[in-house]
Amino acid sequence: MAQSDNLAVPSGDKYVTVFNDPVNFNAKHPLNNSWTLWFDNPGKKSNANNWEQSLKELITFDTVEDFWGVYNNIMKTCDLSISSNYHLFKHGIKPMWEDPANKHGGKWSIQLPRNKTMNDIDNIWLYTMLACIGEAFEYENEVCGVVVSVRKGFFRIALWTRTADNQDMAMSIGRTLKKSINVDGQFEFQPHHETKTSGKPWTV
Amino acid sequence: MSTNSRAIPLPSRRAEPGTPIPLDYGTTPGGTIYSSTPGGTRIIYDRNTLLSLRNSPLSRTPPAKLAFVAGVTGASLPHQAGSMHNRSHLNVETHDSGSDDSDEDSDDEKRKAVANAQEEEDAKAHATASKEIKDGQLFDMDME
Repeated sequence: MAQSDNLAVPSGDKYVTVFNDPVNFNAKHPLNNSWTLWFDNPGKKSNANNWEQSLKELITFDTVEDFWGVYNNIMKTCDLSISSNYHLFKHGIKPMWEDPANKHGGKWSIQLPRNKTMNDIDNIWLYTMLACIGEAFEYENEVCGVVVSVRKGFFRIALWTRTADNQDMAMSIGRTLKKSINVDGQFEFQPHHETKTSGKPWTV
Repeated sequence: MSTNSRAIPLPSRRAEPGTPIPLDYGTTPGGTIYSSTPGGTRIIYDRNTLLSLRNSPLSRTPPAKLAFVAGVTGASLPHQAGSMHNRSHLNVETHDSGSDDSDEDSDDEKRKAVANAQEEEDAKAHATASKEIKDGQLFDMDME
């Protein structure tokens, strides 16, 4: 089949995405990274010993369409019960600070009052995840994962980073995060290991 | 899928050596950008591009390996819009939650759900006529 000579696609095995042809497409859109979604709800009886047991690995995906297949089939954040969390982390990184990828890092987080944010939290969390899987962040390797937490009076959104000692990288991540999800309020960065006792925490 | 598909003419441009690269060189329709960073080429999607794929038929298939957590995933959701009519797509429960899904079969499925779901081949086989783009062909950024 005669095509333009500059095509990189082999002519006998044509990949057609939905953007090229909304009817006759046959290909999913790959993500730059594989991501794993986790859920936990330790509840009131949690302690350090049984928390890890409550953590459930839901699914790993690596295409845009598979992300939506997951998102369209799980409970929305606003409907989760108190003390629940969703964690979206790069495949291979556990959503615990002890994981080698996390242990020298920290997290950007913001608390959003439940009463003011109830209608928006689903989109806020969705946009947080889309920023991750769409690679919105300049320092790709710094991004380990994101967490949404449901608590009694508030929701918390957090982004976990690989390192905690490079302010330029951290500020870049923080600014991109704030811009991606459009919330009112201040994000604060905390290393997982609070070793430095002096100095104000970085904020965006 | 269809037997009436026809070749899609794609625009091509020739350039002499030294011609400046146009700004939209690395984009495809829909706003996907393949950028070269010091660490290599990245696949980047902006938010609108991701959102526009939400309702594609390839996006609606519930993932076959989605672990079952009562009240959180799959058919246990109260407001499912009828997309979960085929319960065999779900995995067996991963913990004893007293759920009533006792008619789920196959312990193998359960073990796969708990372990790292590395391969997505099963999920892709269930999706309608889908084929995954592996890196290389469409995303070849090897331009000198």
